[in-house]
Amino acid sequence: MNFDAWQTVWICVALSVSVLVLDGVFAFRAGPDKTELARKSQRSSRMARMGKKGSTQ
Amino acid sequence: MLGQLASPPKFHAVASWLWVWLLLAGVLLLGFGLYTGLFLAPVDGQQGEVYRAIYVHVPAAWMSMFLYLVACGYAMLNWVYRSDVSAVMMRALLPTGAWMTALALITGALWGKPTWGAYWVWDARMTSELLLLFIYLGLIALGQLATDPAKADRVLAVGLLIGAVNIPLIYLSVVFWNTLHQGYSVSLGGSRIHPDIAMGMWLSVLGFWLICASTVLNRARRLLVQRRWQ
Repeated sequence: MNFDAWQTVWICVALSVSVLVLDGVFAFRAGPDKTELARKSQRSSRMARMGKKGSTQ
Repeated sequence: MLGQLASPPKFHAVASWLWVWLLLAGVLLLGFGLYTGLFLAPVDGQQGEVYRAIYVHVPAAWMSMFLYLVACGYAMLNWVYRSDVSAVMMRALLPTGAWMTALALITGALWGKPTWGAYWVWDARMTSELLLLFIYLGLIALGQLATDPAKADRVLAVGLLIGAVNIPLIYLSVVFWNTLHQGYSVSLGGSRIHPDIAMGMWLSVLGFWLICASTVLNRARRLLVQRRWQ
């Protein structure tokens, strides 16, 4: 497949912009998601409550 | 000031607003650089219009090597201080570096076809850049292998420092070997590119640099949250 000069340039530009956007989107997917964080936070506060109950008995 | 950034809460607080501003500045500069390069810069006497691929190919290729060197810097810091911030920065730089390497290879191939008559040749510059992509992919996989994060950090740091041998090889490949890829146009001694053409390229390089920095900071702060939760 052969592209003319301007087609080549525009494909390169479009690819570059797509890669920069994709990398940015994937960066947002790194680390824990919000539901996981909320679940862990609920679990740790439940454990803390149970610990408090246990110590008063 | 910089020492304070080694503290995870401080780093997270700074990274949380800094990445947005870096992204905005980067998009502006890249947009201006591309406009200057694609519409205002003169046509090249030998290559015609197709030379305009430099406005994305050169920034991507430079970023691929620069990000690796920065990751090596964090690997050394992690080796000495074993801090969480250096560990997440080291890991956050790798995917962006791999993307930039792939982009440099693909845009180079697209530019090579009308210029050299082939998308790919086993030229020293291109082969060593392909090797860099494999190193990045290998390191990303390596960082996820060990279940103990501290052990994985050590292995990753060693892997990064060993792979750094390839960076001067890429840079000097056009000097050591008789390559199809052109030699330096820009070096510490100065630039051989006409200022009207170079202007857009420098703006694009700065734009790429700021956007990559923004993405890396955003990824690092998220990895930091994950690490502190584990």
